[in-house]
Formats: sequence, C-alpha cells, structure tokens
Amino acid sequence: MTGDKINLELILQTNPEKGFEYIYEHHYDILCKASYRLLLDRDAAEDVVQEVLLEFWNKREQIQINTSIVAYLKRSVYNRSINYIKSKSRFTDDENVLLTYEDEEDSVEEEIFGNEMQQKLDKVMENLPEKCKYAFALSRFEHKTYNEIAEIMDISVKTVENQISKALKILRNSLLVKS
Amino acid sequence: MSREEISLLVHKKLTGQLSDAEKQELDATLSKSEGYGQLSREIEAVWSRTGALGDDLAFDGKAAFQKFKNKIGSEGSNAQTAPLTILSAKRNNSRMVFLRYAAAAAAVFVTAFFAIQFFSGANLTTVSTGSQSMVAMLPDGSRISLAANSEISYDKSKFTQGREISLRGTAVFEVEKTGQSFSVHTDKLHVAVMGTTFMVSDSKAGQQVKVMEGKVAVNTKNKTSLILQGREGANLQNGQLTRMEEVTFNDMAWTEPEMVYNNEPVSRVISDIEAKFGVKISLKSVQNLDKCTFTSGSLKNNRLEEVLSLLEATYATKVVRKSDKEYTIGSLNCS
Repeated sequence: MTGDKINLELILQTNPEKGFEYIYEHHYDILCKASYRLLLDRDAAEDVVQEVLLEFWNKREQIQINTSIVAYLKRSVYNRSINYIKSKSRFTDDENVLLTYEDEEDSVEEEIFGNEMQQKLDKVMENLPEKCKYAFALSRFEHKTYNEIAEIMDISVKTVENQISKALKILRNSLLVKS
Repeated sequence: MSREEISLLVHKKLTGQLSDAEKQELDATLSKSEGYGQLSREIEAVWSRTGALGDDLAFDGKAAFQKFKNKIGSEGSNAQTAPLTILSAKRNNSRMVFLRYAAAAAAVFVTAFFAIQFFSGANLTTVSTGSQSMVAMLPDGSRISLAANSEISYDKSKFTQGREISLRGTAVFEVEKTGQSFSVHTDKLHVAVMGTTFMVSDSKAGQQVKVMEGKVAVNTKNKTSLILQGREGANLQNGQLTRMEEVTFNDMAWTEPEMVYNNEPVSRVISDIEAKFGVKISLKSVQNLDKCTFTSGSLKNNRLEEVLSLLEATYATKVVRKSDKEYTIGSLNCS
C-alpha cells in the first residue's frame, strides 16, 4: 500500500483486510507505546492492542465512529489498558500505601544503583507502587487533571495528590542516586 | 510549606493546573531558598525525562499483523464490504475525461459523503463523493482519489479479464501492477492506461489530459487518439485531441490531505477550495488581487466553513453563503 495518508474509513469499507494491514503498519507502534506508558509491560501492551484491533475487526460493521479511526483506536487502547490495570491491581487503601511507600522507595533505589540515568528512571517508573504509577502515568502520558484521575481511579482528589507527590519524590530521588 | 507541597505545586505548574493564587505562593516560596529552586528543577527534570518513556521501544506491526491474520483466519480474505447508501443506477456520462498527474500523496477527506452499491447480477460497485474529495481503493489495491461530486463504478468480477472503470467527474488513479489492463471510460473518451499513476478529471473549465508518470493512450469518440508519456498533456477541443505545449501540475491541491499555504496568491487558494469542496466562490469587490497572499498553516481535513472562516479572519472580510454550492467573498483589499 503506498502513501502515508489514506481514507482509512473508506478502505475499511471496501477492503477491510488492507485497511487493517495499514493500521498495523502505520499505527500499531504508537498504539502499543500508548498502552505501554500506562502498563509499563511490553507484552501486556501488545496483548491489549491486539485485543482492541480484533474487537474492532469483529465489530467493524456495527461501530459508529464520530472521531477519526485512529483516535477511536487510541481511546480504546487507553480504556482497555486501564481495565487491565484495574483487573491486575489490588489497590490497598491510602493509609496502607503510605505505610509501605518508604520501604518500596528504598528497595527501588537500591535496584537502580549503577544504571544509566534514563534507564534508572524507566526502571523506577516500572517499580513504583501500583496506584502511584497509575496516577502518575495518567497525568504524564494521558494529560489528565487531578479531578479526572480521581474519577478514573475512583479515589479522592486528595489521594491523587498524595500519589503524584509520592511518584515525584521517588522519581526525583532516582535522579540523585550516583552511578 | 513542605517539600511535598512544593513538589505538588511544581507538578501542577507543569500540567497547567496551577491557579493564580498557587502560582504566587509557589513563586514566593521558590524565591526564599535556593534549595527549593533546586527541588523545582529536579521535578522538572523528572517530568522531562519521563516523557521519553517507551520512545526507545519498537513494536513490530508486520509481525503483529500476521498474528492478527492467523486469528481472524479465512474471514479476512473473504470479508464482505458493508453496503452503504444505495445510489440511483442512472448514470450521467455526458462529461469529458481528462488525465492529469497525481501527486504522490492522495487526498484524504474523511467526512465526505460516499456510497457504494452492489447491483444484483451485474456485481457493479459504485463509489460517489458528495461535497468533498476522498480516496477509494479498488480490490486490486489500486488507489483512486475521487474529487468532489464525482463517481466511479466497476465490476470486480471481471477484473481478471481487465480492469474497466467508468468515471463521472474527476479522479486520480494510482494503478497497482497486476498484469491486467486498466482502462477508464466515459461517454466520449476511452483511456487505456499503460503507466501506473494518472488522473482522470471531468470539469466545465475545459478538457485536457495530463500525465506525469508512465504512459496513457487517449482515444476520442471520433477515433482521434494520442499517446501521452510522463509530463505530457493534451487538450480536447472541438472533438480534436491536441498535445499541450506546456504542462503544469500545480492544480492538484485538492488531492492533498492537508491544505498548507505559505504566501500563496489568494486566487489560487480560492481555486483549490472550489475544487476540494465542489463549490463556486465569487469575489464581490477586489482591489489589488495580485497582491493578495494567504498563509494558512496546516488546514488538515478542515470543513469548508472553517476554511472560509480563516479567509474572513485573514482579510477582515465577510463570506456569504448564497446556496449549498455558492459563496461570495466580500471586499478584498490587498495593498
């Protein structure tokens, strides 16, 4: 298939398989990265994107899309990633998270000692407490406000602030660790 | 104020959630101590560096597509297209055909009206545009950029014998090489394609053929014919096909997914808008039109109203809608 810009909507109508081939060729990577930034798990991110695309294939004749197809797919990947996190997460209440936080921070810092700065940061991100990581990722990569994060995670705005504050502290400390 | 509270305010600043009062509070706090300033810079560094998360990863779309194909099994190759709005079978073949060069990028105007029809027995598929151009793809992989108010039809069951496309209006064809012939027909012209990229157009402005790449044979009803090769063109006048002395390809903006103008003559911009949206735009009062230029930034998949609104804002003028297809631009004073 030639060209970067096509009418994906029409191609999906006239030649669905070619349309999906185009999606995989041009948008799979960005969809996986969007999921990865929430999940911090490469295999899980690819699974999520495959599931979204398979569902889109199965329902392509029924789905009404009011935005662009790519925007729709990205939104679907985002939603499914969140569901994935929720299904995997065993969120403790705020107090428990606060109690365990300092211990986790120390272990994370030990683990990253000696790595390159960026790798350290990525590793620290991966090892943030689940709730903390989730709130930070929604802020950093999905550009959600505190209120939106609170609604998505079903927690209070104050708790969101606590989680973001913790994430910033852990990540900031990781930059200060000498290689 | 604790360091955690300062961190949070810096984060709010980075995410655009900082209120005016919080901003004053943050500025005052940071000015008190270099240590707080350092804290702020560290958080900004964290924010900046985490933005690159995942950038170094690469996900293999081709391999994933193979997995996807395995999962959907044979369904993919036998997929049926979804029938859309049913069109009238009545055809209007009274217009002429033109060939022009197709720019590499084809038009993408997602919101355009289109319709596909499968006639029982004839297996005829018809694709029509309404007020905006769009791209269709034939079963053989060939791409067709179809201008506004245009229509193509074809019988894919006969593609093994040769690909025959009927056209009303204007279209750019980028032909996939399959070993089968590819022809475009209208009432008065028959165009046999020997190249890979060409455009067939149909306009009131005149009849002409332009080819940038490959080779096409143009035949008229009265048996005149011409072979055109890359960067050649021909005019059809009084039933006679004559070779053009000079061929330009600057009238293809409607095929582009984005309208981007940088100091372009407004007359050309208006001409592009007319072609892209299938409308007629007249100028009420003009002074120094040759001095009128337009710089748009990117107008990607914009609606007609948005583009006209930008013209209004640019020239402090008023665009009046006379009908669905007719607009009048008020005074344009370009000094």
